[in-house]
Amino acid sequence: MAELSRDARLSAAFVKVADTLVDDYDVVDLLDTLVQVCTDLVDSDAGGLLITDPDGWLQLIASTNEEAEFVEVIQLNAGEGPCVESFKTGEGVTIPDISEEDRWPAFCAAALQQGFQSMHAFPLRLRGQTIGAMGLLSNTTGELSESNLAVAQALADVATIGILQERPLRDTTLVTDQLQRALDSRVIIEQAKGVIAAQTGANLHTAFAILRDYARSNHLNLSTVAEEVAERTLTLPASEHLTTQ
Amino acid sequence: MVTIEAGHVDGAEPPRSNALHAGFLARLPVDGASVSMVTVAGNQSTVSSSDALATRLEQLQYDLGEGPHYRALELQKPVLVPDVEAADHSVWPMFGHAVVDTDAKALFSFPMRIGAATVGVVDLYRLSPGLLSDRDVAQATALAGAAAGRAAAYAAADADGDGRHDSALVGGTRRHVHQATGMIAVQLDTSVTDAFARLRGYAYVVGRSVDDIARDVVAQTLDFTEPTG
Repeated sequence: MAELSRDARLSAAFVKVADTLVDDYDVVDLLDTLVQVCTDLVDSDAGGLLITDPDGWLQLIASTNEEAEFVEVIQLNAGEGPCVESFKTGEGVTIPDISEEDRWPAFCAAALQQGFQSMHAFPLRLRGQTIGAMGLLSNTTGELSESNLAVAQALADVATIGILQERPLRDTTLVTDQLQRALDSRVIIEQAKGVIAAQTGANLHTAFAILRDYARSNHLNLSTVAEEVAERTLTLPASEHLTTQ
Repeated sequence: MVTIEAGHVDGAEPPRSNALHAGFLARLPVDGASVSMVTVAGNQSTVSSSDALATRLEQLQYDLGEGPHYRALELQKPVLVPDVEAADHSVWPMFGHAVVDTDAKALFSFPMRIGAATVGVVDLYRLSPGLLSDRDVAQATALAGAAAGRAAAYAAADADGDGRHDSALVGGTRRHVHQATGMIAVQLDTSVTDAFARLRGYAYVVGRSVDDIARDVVAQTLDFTEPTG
C-alpha cells in the first residue's frame, strides 16, 4: 500500500474522530466512529468496544458487526479475555494467533468459532484512569505493525481525552454517570430500531437509517430522537427509505 | 471530577445477582438496599437485598401495593423521602402508617431503566433522616442504570434451568434483545416497559431464554401480535 495513501487515510481517520467531538457530541457516536475507523485503518476485519459502568463492570457499547459483538460479550460473560485484561492493566494486549493462545479459553473458542485468528486490544486510558478497552479482530494470524498499533492507540487516546475532558462537567456528574448515559443511549437506539422495524416493515439496518436521517435532517441528537421513538411519542415518516430499498 | 476504579473485573469471583445492591451501599450514604425486577402483570421479584429491613420494606410495599417504590415505577423518576416521620404520606397512606413503626428514617427509590424500559426499582433506606445530595442522586441514578443492565443480562441468559449462564453474566445483553423489545411494543401496542416484561414472561412460560426468544422475534419467526399461548 502506498505511503501517501496511508498518510491520507490516517489524517482522515483523525479528522473523523475529532469531528465527532464537536459541541454536544454523543459518546455513542464517538465510540462507534472510533471502532469503525480503527478497524478500517489497520485493516482488521471487525472491532468491538467495552466501557465501564458506574459499578465498575464492563459493558459492550459498540461493535462493527454481530461476530465482533459475540466475541466481546463472551469476554464479558467469562470475565476474562484480551479486552478485559487490557482494561485491568491499562496496557495493550496482542494475540497474533488465537489458536496458539492458552489464556482465556472461553474467549479463544468463541473467537475461533466466529472465524477470527488474531486480536489486538487497546485500553481507553488517560493518566492512569482506564474507562474501557477496544478490541480489533482479524480473520488472519499475525501481529499489527508497530505503526498500526501506535495509530489505533492514538485514536483511542483522542476519544478518551474527549470523553474525560468533555463538558463543562456539571458538579454533580461523574464520568461514570456519563458513560452510563452512553450505555443507556445505545440501548434506546436498539429499542427504537425495533419499534421502527415493526411499524414500517423495514429491516433493522434500514430502521437505523430512518432514525439517523430524521435526526440529521432535523438537527436533533440521535439519542433524543431514539428515546421519543422508543417511548412511542414520535412516529417517524418512513416512505422514502422503503421505496428505495 | 473523575472517579474511576480500575480492577473491578478481576474474574476471580464470578458476579452474582445477589450482589446487585452492593454498589449502592458502597457508594452512597445509605444503610440498606434492595433491588427488584418488574415481572409480568405488575408483579415483581426481589433479586437482591442487603438485610432484613430492606426486605421488610419491600414486602410491606408489595403487600399494600403502595409506597415510594410504586411511586417511582409510576413516575419513572426517583422518589426521595428524606425524613419518614415528617413526610407527607398522603400518596401512600397505608404504607405511611406502617413505615413509621420501622427503623427506616429516610427512603429513596430509583427506577431501573434499560433504555426506555423500566425493568425494576432500587429501594434504599437510611437509619437516620437526611437528604441525598444532587451528586448522590446522580450517582444513584447511574448505579440503577448499571444494575438494570446487569439484571437484564441475567434475565436474558437464564435458559431453561440448565444453569449454564446463571453464575457468570456481566454485561452481556445482546442488541437483539433490545430490538425485539421495540418490535414487541409495536406488535402489542404497548410501552417498551410492558414489552420487555412480556418478552421475559413468554420466555419463562415456554422454558427458553429471553435471548433465544428475542432472536426469533427479530427474525420474524415469532410475532407477539398473534396469541402466543
